[in-house]
Amino acid sequence: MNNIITSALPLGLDGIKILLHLLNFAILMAGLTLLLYKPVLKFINGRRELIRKQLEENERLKTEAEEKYNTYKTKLDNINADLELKKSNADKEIEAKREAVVNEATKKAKEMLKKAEQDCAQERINAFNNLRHELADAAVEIAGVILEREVSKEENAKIIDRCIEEWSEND
Amino acid sequence: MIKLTITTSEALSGEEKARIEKSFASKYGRLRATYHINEGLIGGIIVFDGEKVYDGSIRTQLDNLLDNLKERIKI
Repeated sequence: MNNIITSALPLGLDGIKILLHLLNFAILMAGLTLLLYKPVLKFINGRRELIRKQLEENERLKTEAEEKYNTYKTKLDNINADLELKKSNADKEIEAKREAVVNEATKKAKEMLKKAEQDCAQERINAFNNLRHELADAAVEIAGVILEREVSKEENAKIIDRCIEEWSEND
Repeated sequence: MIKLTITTSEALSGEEKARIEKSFASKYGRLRATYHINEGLIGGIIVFDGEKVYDGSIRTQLDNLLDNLKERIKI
C-alpha cells in the first residue's frame, strides 16, 4: 500500500508527509508569529514614531526657518524701503542745495555784472569829464600862449586903461 | 599916504604910469606906487592898495574862464 502511495507521488512524498510538513510549517509560523511579531511590530512602531517625530521636527524647523526667512525678508524690505527713502531725501536735499548754490551764484554774478556796468559807466563819465577838463586846461593854456604872442604893447595899454576905468566906475 | 603895489607883464612907460597914478590919486589922494613885472600875467594889471587887490590881468581872466568851464562840465 505504501509502495503504491509512494509510487503515486514524485520525490518520495506522500499525503501524510505533506500534511506533516504543512503542520510543521504552521507550527513554525505560529512560533515565529508568537516570538517575532510583537518585537518586530514594536520595532516598526518605534521606527514609525521616530520618523514621525523627525518629520514633525523637520516641519517645525521648516516653519521656523520660513518664519525667520519672512522676518528677515520683511526687515530687508524695510531696510530697502528706508534706504530708498533716504536716498530719495538725499537726492532732493542735494538738488535743493545745488539749486540754492546755482541761484546764489547767479545772483552774485548778476550783482557783479551790474556793479561792473555801473563802475564802467562811472569810469566812462569820469574819463569823459577828465577829458573835458584836460581839454579845457589845454584850451586855456593854448589861449594863454596865443594871447602872450598876440597881445601887443598897445593892446596891453588898452587893457590896462579899461581896467582902471572899470575900477573907477565901480568905486 | 597910500602905498600901491602895481604888477604888470611888461614895463610901463612914464605916461602910462602917470595915467595910472592919476586915476588912483583921485580915489586915495597922495600915494606912492611901486612897480613890478611878472610875465606870467600875459597882459593887464594888478594893483594892491594894502587891503584890496584889483586884478585885471589876462592870466586871472583865463583862470576864471577855466574855472567857469570846469564848473559847467561838472555833473
